[in-house]
Amino acid sequence: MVKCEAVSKWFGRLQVLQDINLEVVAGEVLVIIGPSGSGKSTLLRCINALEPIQKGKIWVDGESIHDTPPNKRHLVRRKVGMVFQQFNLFQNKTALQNITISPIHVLHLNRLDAEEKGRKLLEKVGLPEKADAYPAELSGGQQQRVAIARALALDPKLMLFDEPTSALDPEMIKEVLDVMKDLATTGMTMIVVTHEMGFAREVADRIIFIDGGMVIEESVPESFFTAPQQERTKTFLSKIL
Amino acid sequence: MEFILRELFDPLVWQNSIIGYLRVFETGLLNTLTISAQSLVLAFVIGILVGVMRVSKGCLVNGIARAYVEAIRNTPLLVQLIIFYFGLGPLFGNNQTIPLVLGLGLFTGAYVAEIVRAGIQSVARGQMEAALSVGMTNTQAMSLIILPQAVRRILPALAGQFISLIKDSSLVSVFGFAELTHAASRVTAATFRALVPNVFVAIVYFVIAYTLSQGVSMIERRTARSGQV
Ligand SMILES: Nc1ncnc2c1ncn2[C@@H]1O[C@H](COP(=O)(O)OP(=O)(O)O)[C@@H](O)[C@H]1O
Ligand SMILES: [Mg+2]
Repeated sequence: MVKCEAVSKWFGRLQVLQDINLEVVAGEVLVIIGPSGSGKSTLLRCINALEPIQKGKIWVDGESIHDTPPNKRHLVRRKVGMVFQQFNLFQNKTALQNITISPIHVLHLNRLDAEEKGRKLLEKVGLPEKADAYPAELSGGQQQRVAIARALALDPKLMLFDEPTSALDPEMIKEVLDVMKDLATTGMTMIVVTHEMGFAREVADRIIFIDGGMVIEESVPESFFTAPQQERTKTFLSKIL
Repeated sequence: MEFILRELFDPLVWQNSIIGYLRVFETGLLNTLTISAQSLVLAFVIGILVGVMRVSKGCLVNGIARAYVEAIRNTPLLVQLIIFYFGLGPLFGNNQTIPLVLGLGLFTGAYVAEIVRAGIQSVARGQMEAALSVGMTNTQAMSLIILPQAVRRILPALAGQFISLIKDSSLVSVFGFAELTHAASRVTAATFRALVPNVFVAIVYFVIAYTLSQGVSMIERRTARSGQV
């Protein structure tokens, strides 16, 4: 589903991704952890072509997204849903409009069908009664659940989550994680950047640890937490567990 | 001093130089509103276009937009109007309005462009990324998400600019365009009294400008919920 081949990226002279090789197969849940500033968000944004890369290749569903001309990239992005740390709901649209705007304008679905689907998605994330609320009227947890519904509205083949619960009050984290767990059980391919180790243990098929823009360690959850191989992973885990 | 006050509050002067010339002021007011509205439409179109160009990553597009904005903002409006009216006037045959509307529209457009640019930049980058991430093109992201929010945010600044435009339009009286200020000059010439007709005209400008700014405050309050006009 996703394949990164020797991906490197620089911001000016600062190299933030170094030779990243990564493959995620359909239906897999990959969790990425790593200290702040290690390049996790940048990697996700490169997979979605929100940032250009300087070396390597990234395939999404068989298409090399950075070789796609800029005016065609939105076609590849339609297959990829993204959920941001700061939710980034469209502030000028209601919850339902946030979900339907893209099906209507991008997929040219008719309004009624799009709204019906939008309401189903709101139900799926547990917010059927908030259809007409504006983002500013929703709590953080509610906003993030609407954002997940928005990302799902294009029937993506892959979902990217960039620290979806880091900006939430503790009591709202569970409601968002629950929605993500449900999604994982439906067989969605997911790449999740998170510090929620409980979630990683329970849901991840594989975990990678990134530091300094490099993949330091990669393994299945049990061995990752109980028997990390690399010193840097051990240090990091001892700090957060 | 006393003589000025006496003139200002003399009913007979008002009778002779205002009531007697109401038709002239009426035409003037209508022309002021018309030329301002026409220039406003032009300025809005130019402002959005150039404002979007100013945030583009293309150096040439950005450079052209910047050159225009700087050229306009660093020269006097009256000189610009003279260039349009006398310099480019022959291009428009003997139509007096077109060069003046162009001049006022291009002038205000440069300021609107800077307001639009600031507005776009104030709508967080996250909104653009979210729009792209749900498969929108750049153009769709701009027109569906960024601009509607930017316009709402810049509404007060835009309103201020448009109020300035109405006041600036008084300069076209210099070219004999029969708008409100020109009406006052004509009455002054006919009655040999400058004070009352011009005070009257100032009051009319004030009423228009004040009404507009109150109207915009009302729109602002009504659109607070959605953050979009
Ligand atoms: N737009 C940008 N311009 C310049 N440097 C950036 C930009 N975005 C991120 N960086 C830098 O790239 C590095 C990785 O950032 P990021 O991917 O956000 O890390 P993480 O998500 O792991 O915390 C950091 O050093 C950050 O300062
Ligand atoms: Mg990050």
